[in-house]
Amino acid sequence: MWLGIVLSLLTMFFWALSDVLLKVASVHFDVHPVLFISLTSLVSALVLLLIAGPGTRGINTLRSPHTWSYGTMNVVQDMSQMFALVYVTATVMNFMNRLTIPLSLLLSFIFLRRKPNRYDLIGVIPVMLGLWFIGTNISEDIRIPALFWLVFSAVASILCAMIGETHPESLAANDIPTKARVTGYVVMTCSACFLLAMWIMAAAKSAMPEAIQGFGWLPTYEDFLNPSTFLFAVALGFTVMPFALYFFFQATRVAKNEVFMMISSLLPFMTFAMEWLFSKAGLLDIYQLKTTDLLFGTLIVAGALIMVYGRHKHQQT
Amino acid sequence: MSAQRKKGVVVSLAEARKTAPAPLESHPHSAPASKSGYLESWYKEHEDRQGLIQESLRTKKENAEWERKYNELKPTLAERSLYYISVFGIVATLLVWAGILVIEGL
Repeated sequence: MWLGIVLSLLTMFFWALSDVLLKVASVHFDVHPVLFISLTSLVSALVLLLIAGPGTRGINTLRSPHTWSYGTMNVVQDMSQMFALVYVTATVMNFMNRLTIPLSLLLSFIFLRRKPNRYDLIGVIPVMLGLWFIGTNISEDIRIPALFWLVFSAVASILCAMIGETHPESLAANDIPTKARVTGYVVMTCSACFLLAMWIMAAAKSAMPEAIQGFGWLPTYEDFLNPSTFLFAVALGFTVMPFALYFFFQATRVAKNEVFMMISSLLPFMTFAMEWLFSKAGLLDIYQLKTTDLLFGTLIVAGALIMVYGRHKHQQT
Repeated sequence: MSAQRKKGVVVSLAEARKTAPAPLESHPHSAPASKSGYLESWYKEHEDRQGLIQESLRTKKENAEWERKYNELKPTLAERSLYYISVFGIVATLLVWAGILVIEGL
């Protein structure tokens, strides 16, 4: 239980850092979200594979359908977060991402037959209220696209956690190198496929611009040749992302899905602290962030903590 | 059991016989060596031999188990190839990408 909580907190730290850096990248460097995330994931996969060294479970990992579904969901989640960051601050995005709490309870009940206890039911009320108020606080002109990407990201995040919890190769991996190797292969396969798909799309876009009209979000050759995308992605992929991915995989394996989701409620405050530091350094502007957002966010965290306490009490008895 | 014999070390039956301690030490529950009588000494010898055979079989079984565990940890050629192809593939992609950026920048 405690190991799961520590791993989850470490995941939160690296996620907060990576979210703020993603915001910086999207605001200051004009990077293409899909391309940027795919490249960052590919570089972090390289770091994980180098840490792990050659060994077993590679072939089985590639053969497992869990790998493909997890990897796809992971890249999709990161991309939708990147799109959401265009509209809202990283702190608001992380508060709204707590939609994972009620959704994970619902999905765990439907698919995994895990019944919510009374603490879950009490805690979920302030969480829902906080989400509602923060959602209505988003400026009206950007509310619909912002909420679309935020909900999309929350659903992808839950699916990721659920698949990670049942990934056979990850569960069978007992030592750190094997776990890092399995994670590396999982991330590599899907990010490489996404990059290849984006490159084909860019080629198609350049060859038949009329046919690809309406797909403005797809990258072009110019996006591939943006040095900021490459340099920032390589830097982020080498430094922050491998740790964030590795601890996430570990935490979802050790802690139960719900516990991980509850602790991840603290993420917005970590993100807020980092955003504040970045804004002091002149790298970010957080004028969009309102005091009421933080107050309603506290309501979400309070609800989530009630649920964590309930889980802990339930495990002790 | 001989002091030289350890878990996981392959010991041939012939060597086991050579290094085996005296029957009384190795098999305390076996019948004491007879001081007289052909049948009794034959029976004692037979019992000792059975003990050695059983021990040899047990060692073989243990060795097989260790070998299975070792093979599980040891990557196959396909696993090693996959690893190096993945690592060098990513590095090559990044180098080519960086190269194109440098050429375009020039």
